Formats: sequence, structure tokens, C-alpha cells
Amino acid sequence: MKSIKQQLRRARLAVVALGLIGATPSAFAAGTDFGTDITNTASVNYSVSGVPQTAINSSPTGNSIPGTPGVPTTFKVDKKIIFVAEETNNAATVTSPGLTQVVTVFRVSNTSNGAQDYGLAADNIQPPAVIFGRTDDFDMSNFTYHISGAACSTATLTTPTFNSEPAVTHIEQLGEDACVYVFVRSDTPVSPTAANGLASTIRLKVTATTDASNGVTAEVETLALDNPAVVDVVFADAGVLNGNTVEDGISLAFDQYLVGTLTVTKTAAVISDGFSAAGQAKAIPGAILEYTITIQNNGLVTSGAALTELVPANTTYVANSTTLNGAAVSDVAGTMPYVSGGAISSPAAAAGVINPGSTAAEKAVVRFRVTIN
Amino acid sequence: MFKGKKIFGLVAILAGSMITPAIAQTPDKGCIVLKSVAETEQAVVNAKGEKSTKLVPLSKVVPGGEVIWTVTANNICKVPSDKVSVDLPVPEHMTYVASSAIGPGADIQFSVDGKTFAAADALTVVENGATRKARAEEYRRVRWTFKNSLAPEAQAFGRFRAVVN
Repeated sequence: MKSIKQQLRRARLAVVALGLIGATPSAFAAGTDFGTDITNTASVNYSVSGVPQTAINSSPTGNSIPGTPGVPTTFKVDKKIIFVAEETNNAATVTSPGLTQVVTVFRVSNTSNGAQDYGLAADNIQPPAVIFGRTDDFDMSNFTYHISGAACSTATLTTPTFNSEPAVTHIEQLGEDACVYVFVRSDTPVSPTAANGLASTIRLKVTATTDASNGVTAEVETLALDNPAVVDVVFADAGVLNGNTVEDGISLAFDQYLVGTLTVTKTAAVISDGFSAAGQAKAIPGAILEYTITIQNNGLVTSGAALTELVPANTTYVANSTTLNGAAVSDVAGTMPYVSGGAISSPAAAAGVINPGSTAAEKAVVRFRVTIN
Repeated sequence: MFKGKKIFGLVAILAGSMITPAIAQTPDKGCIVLKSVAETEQAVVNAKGEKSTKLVPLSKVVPGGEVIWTVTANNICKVPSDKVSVDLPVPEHMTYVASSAIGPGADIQFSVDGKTFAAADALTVVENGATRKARAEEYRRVRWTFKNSLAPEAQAFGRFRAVVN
């Protein structure tokens, strides 16, 4: 008795060990398409009293009729929904107060084992942690969704340009191992809700939806036992970032709008002190200082950009020393023209217009000189 | 017309009988009931907290999922069946899990082409003119050859695991 028990235990251990060895080979990223029937029929050959018998094929419930095809043991491959929505460029989209239909870009990748519909919905719900180092200051509105005509590769993330693609409600039958870029457009509130330097973080919620429901009917995971005859649904989506929940058939991605910002830098250099050699002038009384104010636009093209600047205390303005982008700017009321405020611009641009960019052709540069008292 | 068809059917049966003339039982019933089932393994914990596994009907089967195929042969005759040999393919869209085939009292052989069978250690394939040992994921068919006769009312079984591609 004891030895049989021991044998049984050994056998059981062996089975467990085999289970551990079982590797999971994967020929394709997403695997066998859902809905595929997997069928199998066993056969037995045998003899009775030394006489070979006609082979018998199996059935799921047992077959003993020789020479018939038997009944294949069959099940359908179920649907394993895996997908992810991502923000594409890891940077905010620049907007300006009152600007409408401002485009942000997301990518939705489907690695389910078959084509899948995805519903699209954007809102102003916030991620668990701020993105791009900025808090959310205002809400965007009138979200619309557009699928980019640009080629999409799951291997490389790019940020295509909006090309007047029509508005849609959902992604229709995104293929296995395929992706699409989704443009979300929305309207910026007017000033002062949206003001220079303020940001709005938006959320794109992508939901796996049933085919032919126009992105309305969410897929529901099959909780009951497998029905071998139908395609059941299993959620396998990851959920590590941005408040995503694992295996819920929903992927959340966040992007941000930033109201265009101007950065202003101001430097001073001693031009001459009347004593030192060129290039070695010191800031002593009587020395001439030159201030350089550089305005760079990190946002959208501006209009009405103006600069107001004071002549520093303990200095005296050097008459007619002010320039904008190298061109002289006449004094106003006998002093530095920007004391009373004046338009600035990029070189070769109209007054008040500063083009976005960091090159010399885009930055506005104001210089003026003072004498240290 | 009907008469003609019946005659044709009869001829077909006769032809079939001639190919396999030695039938011990009635032509519509053999000595073995052959059953093939697909199941999955489920972890269970008993009242003592001991973990084990049991086979349950398939739950959701998705790519990467493991299925346990079991074929059982029951002798329903009053005489033993000899030279019992059971074949079970590794189905299309599935990959055999290495070392997973079991079958008490059976020699287990594998085939990559459904024609040539050999034990795991002896099975080879020719690739680019060179002969090498077949890899487990290349097996397309498993054969259990039972060493002893299958007594009346006795049952033999073979089992392997395969993963959905």
C-alpha cells in the first residue's frame, strides 16, 4: 500500500514538473486570430486476437464506430484584447487664448489577436501626476477626433501633421499589430482664462468596443467558463502609467496645451570705462554699459508684442543709443523709447510680430546704453 | 433513381469490407471507445492550504494559453485489445510543449511529418541538407504505443500539453 502511495506521489510530482517546463512560444506578436477553430481528432489502431482492426477516430464524447471520420474536438480561439494609447511627442502643444481646433496627436496600437474597434473620447480629467512639469490651469472644449492618413508603425513613434482628415467617433477595425495616429482637436478659452504660460492637460480615453457599434458598445470580458463554440473576450491590456487599470479594455493617454510663452533675457556689458584697454572695461562711475534684451517666442506667432523697460537707477541714458534688431529707435520725450512702452518685432517682421523660434531671424533684440553715475 | 443509389452504396460498403476483411466485431462497432478532450489546468487550494492542480473544462483560450489534450481508449469488448496504438495530432495553430507527453505503459513517439515516428531523442529532421535532432516545437503528431494488451473494460490514456500560437 505504502509503495503505491509513494509511486502516486512521484507521478504527481512529475506532472507538476512538466507543467513548470512548459514554455510559451509565440510565432507572432498577437498570435492566432480570434475566431479560429482549433480542431483535433485522435485515432487508434489495435488488434483483437491477432487480427488488425479498422482504425477508430475519436470524438469529444467517445466514438467506437470504426472507419468513420469521428468528431473533431474543437474550440474557438478567444479574443485577447491588448492595445495602448500614447501621446506622441512628449511635449505640450502650443496654443493661444481663443484659438480653436488646436491639434494634439496620439497613437493607438492594437496588438490583439485580430482587428478591433476602439471608441474615442477626450475630456479634461486629470492624470494622477502632472505631466511635462505643469499643473492644469484651464479646460479645453469641443473635442473632435480625426484619424491621420499618415502611415503608422508600432516600432517608431512619430508626430504626423494634421491634414484636414474628417472627424470620426471611433477607430473602425484597427488591424492586428497595426496602429493609427489620432488627432484630437479642441478649442482654447479666451483670455484671461487662457493666458501666457498657463497650461491645460487633457485626457484621451480609448475603449475597446464591439464591431459595428460605432465605438459605442464597450467590449465586456467574458466572466463565465469558456464556450468552445463562441469567441469569448479576455482583456490583457497593460495599465502601468497615467492611472490606467490593467486588463480593463480601456487605455488612457494624456497631452497638454500650453499658451504660448515669451522668454525675455537681459544682459549687461561694460563697453568702456575711459581707462582700461578694449575688452577689459570695468563698471566704474563714468563707464558706459550696454543692456541687451532678447525676446524669444516659444509659442505661436504674436501680434502686438511690446516692451516696457526702465533706465536703471544710478545710471544715465545715453541719448539715441537704442536699437531694435540693430536698427536705431528714436528717443521719446528725450529718453529711452521703451520707457513709455513700444512695439517690438522679429527682424523683418511687422511691428508687434514675433515669430516663434530661437534663431537670430526670429528673436527680437533691443539694445540701449547707459552711463554709470 | 433511388434504387440505383442504394446499389451504389452497397457496393461502396463491400469495397470497404474487402480492404479490411478481418473484422472481429460487427462493422458498426469496434472494441475501443476513443475520446479526445481539450482541458486546462486550474490551481486549487484545499482546506489544508495545500496547492495542487486539476484539469477543468477549457476556460478562455487566447494566444499563449496552454491546453491539455487527453485521449482515452476504453476497451468495450469481452476480449483484450492488443497492439493498441493511439495517434493524436498537435493541432494547427498550436505548439507542442516540450516533454509534456505522458502515457502510462506506453512508448511515446513523435513525428514532424505525420509519417515517420521516433522517440524524442531519435527523431531527426533534415534542414538545408543537414540532419539534426527535431525540436519539440516542430512535433506535429504524438503516438502512444501501449506495451500491454488492453483488458476488457480497461482504459488507456495519453496526454500532452500544447500552447495556442
